[in-house]
Amino acid sequence: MLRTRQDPSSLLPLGASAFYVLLALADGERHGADIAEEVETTTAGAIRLMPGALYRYLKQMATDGWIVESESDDDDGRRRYYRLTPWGRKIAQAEAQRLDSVVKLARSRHLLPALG
Amino acid sequence: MHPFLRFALLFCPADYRRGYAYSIASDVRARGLHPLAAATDVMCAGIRMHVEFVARDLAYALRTLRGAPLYTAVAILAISLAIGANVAVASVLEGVLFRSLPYPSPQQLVFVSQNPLIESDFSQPNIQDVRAQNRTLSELGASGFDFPETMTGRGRAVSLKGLLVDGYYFAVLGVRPELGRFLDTHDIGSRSVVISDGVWRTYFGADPTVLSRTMVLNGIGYRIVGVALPSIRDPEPSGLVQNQYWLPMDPHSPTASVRGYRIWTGIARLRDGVNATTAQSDLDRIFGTLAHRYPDAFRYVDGAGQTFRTFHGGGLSALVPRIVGPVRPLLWLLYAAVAMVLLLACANLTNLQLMRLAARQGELAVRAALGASRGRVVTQLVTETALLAIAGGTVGLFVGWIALTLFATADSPPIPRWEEVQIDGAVLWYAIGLVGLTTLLSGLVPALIHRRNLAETLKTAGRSDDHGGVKRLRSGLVAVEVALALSLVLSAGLVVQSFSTLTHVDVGFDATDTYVVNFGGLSGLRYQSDAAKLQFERAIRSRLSALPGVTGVSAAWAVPFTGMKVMTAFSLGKEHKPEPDIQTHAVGPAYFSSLRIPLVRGRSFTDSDSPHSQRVVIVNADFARTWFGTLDVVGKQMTSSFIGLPGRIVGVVGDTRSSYADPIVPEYYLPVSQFPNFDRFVVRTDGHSAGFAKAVDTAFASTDPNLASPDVQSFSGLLARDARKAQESVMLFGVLATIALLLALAGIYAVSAYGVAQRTHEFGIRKAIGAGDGTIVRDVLLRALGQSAVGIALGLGLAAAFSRLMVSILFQTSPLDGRIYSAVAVLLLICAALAALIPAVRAMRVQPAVALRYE
Repeated sequence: MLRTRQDPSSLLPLGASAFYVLLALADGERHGADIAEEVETTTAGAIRLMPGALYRYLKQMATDGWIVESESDDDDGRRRYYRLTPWGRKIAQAEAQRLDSVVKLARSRHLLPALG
Repeated sequence: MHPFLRFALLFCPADYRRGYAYSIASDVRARGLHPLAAATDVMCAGIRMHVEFVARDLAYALRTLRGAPLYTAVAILAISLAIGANVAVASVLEGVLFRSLPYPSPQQLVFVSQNPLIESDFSQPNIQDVRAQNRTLSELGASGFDFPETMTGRGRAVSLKGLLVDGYYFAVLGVRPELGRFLDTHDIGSRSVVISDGVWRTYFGADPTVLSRTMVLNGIGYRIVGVALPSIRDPEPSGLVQNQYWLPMDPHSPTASVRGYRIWTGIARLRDGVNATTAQSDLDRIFGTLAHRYPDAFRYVDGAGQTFRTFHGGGLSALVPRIVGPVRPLLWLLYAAVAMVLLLACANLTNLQLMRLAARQGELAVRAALGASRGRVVTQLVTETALLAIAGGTVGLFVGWIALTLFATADSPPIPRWEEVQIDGAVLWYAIGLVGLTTLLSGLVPALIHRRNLAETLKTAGRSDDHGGVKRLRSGLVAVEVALALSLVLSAGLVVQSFSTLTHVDVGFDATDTYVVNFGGLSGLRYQSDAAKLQFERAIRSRLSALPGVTGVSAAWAVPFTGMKVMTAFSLGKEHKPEPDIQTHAVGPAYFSSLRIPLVRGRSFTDSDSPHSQRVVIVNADFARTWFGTLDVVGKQMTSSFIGLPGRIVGVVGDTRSSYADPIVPEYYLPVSQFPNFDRFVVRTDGHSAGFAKAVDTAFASTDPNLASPDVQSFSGLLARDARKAQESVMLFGVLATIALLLALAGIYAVSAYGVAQRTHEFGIRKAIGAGDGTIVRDVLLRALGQSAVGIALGLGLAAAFSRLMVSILFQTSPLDGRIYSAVAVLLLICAALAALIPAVRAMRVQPAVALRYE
């Protein structure tokens, strides 16, 4: 049973936290605390996801089919791991492209130095 | 887990808590987060999720409702009618029964009387003794009847209605004036007056310096000492009365100083912590002593000085139940009726929801399968119902307001304190409660029942089929709807029967083309002598008789259907027999002919019955039969306590009623010429009396310019007004029964139509193998009639129980009238058949080929 998928661009722009979560998952499976630490590191501490909000995002994304959850047995017993679905990746890509075009626009208006 | 976290998780949706509690706890540990910071974050996340759910449910429900406008409109209409009816009746209940009377601590107020049967029966000397000797009353005051007085000096003379009070009356009520002060003990014997807010505004232009001015009543000037607030009402046993002025009693008149003048209405306030029983025994003690010391003051004597009866104890009746008591049964009945209508509307909505649920079963099952938890499906359905109920409730408040407004435009609704009825805060809360109840009954119940079926639905691959429980519930709901509708239709039937009986009662006289001219009676210095009154009577009689179209004129006192009854004592023959008080009238010679009251024996009064001739009396037929066992009583003697001298019965006339609901009772008539007490003229015309009221006005003004303009009413109008009370019940129950019937019909129709839609396949096969149209129609009809029959049986039982409560509002109608029961049962069956007919025809038209392609 598949739901009809809309155009990913209709979901944009993503919230900053949501996009960083997707970015954190872009290169592979991670567990919750791992995602939060990754987001914190890549944003140099600007976005600090506390567990309540983090799992709210993860749950919603899982419900909407952006990511999938899996439990794996490791040292912690039953830690949940998350990875992007193809649909989730599409959304992340769409957002990245949107940001890219925003950056290009900013350059053309001389808000950023021109590239090499 | 840290207790902070555990607490914070309570704010989260259950599935989130189940799914992530462990992960959150371990993350907090692994990342070394502060438990309080983490807990705050979890709590915020939980609340946000709940808010999102509600918002999503609302958006979804709005979308669903917009997608089914007919269903939405029908549902909102049903709820708004039901809630509107409930709001209207609740407002009346609240304003009349629950809101306290406009005095501080009204439950402490009691009527006190030296006669346990009549409240307005107390003499001033006795009141003073009771005031001095009691240990249970904090205040005891009295009010007394004042004939309407004519105010002059402020434009055209006008008749005002007022009250005589003693110096304690306002202290008992405990109310504040708008300006100045109320009358107290210092005003007794002075010429002071308190006026109403209405008089102050209408005749004194709301002048703030009115307190120094004078008001002239019946030619006597009174100093205005106070203006009462518009909210003031005077408590009388008949209800709360709106007066226009208050005068202090005259301490030198016999009414104030003679122990036997029991004309005052005693009103008292119980001391704090004293109940009515304690006060009653306290008063019994005092009245016992008083009756022993002054037996004459407690003796009821006729004009010849004969004792009729004696009381040795007084009566005390609490004010609140005495005033609102008479309408209590009607109001509670109406409340029960509107509650039934609401239940019916809920049953209908529940049914609609169940059907829509069944239709959406596939969709819902898929939603559930895709991870929407069962609980979420339930809240979604409840949200949808809540939206309908809120919309219905809002429209319902408006409907209720319209209903109250319509009812209020009927002049003087037969309910005390009617002017205090409004939709206020309490009623608004009640309406909100009803919306909640509707949501629970029609949203939560079907959703919960349905939840059980979801799993099964998935097994049947989303085919929208009924399961046993739901099917039974649906038929049960139809039966309940029919039962409720039947009992309401039946109550309406009983009320209609009662109304028809009432208005077909023979009142004993002919009111067509007759008028009642009410001039309020003669009082004041000019009319102290009987001769002056009789001169006035003759003058008016000749002036009115001369008017074009007038064929008969008679002065009268205690005219039927005017609400005025005079009861007096009488005795028969020489040896004295104590008879009860009976209704008494004073009339002129043309009274009986003008009203076409048949003369059964003897003669009518004539102009030769004068103050100096033999005392004469006319009795009605019931009187003759009751006390003589025959109509041949002309020549017998009877003594009216009004006259005090033996009178000769000269005639027997036909029986008349004082109002539609009043029984035929023994009555007697005195001639106005020998007992010149009259406040009205009865006038018969030939039907061509244009400008009659104006001409009457002129006739009175030219006879006595100081008299207020008289009130001219057509006699048939008085009869119609009396019937209106019963008519209003007919209207109220009729409207409720109609709503109920329509709701039940909608229910039967919907269930039949749904059943037919579900059985399309079956009908197709049956037709394919040769079933006739008749068989299929009969099948659908019988099923609907079967459900209705169960409902009718239930309803007849319910109605029998309910109608017992109706005895008090029915006139000569048995609450178990078999004809009405069977008629209503048949009516309901016919309606049920009609409601099921359209679906039945649809079933008949099923094309086998189409039906088989259905699957």
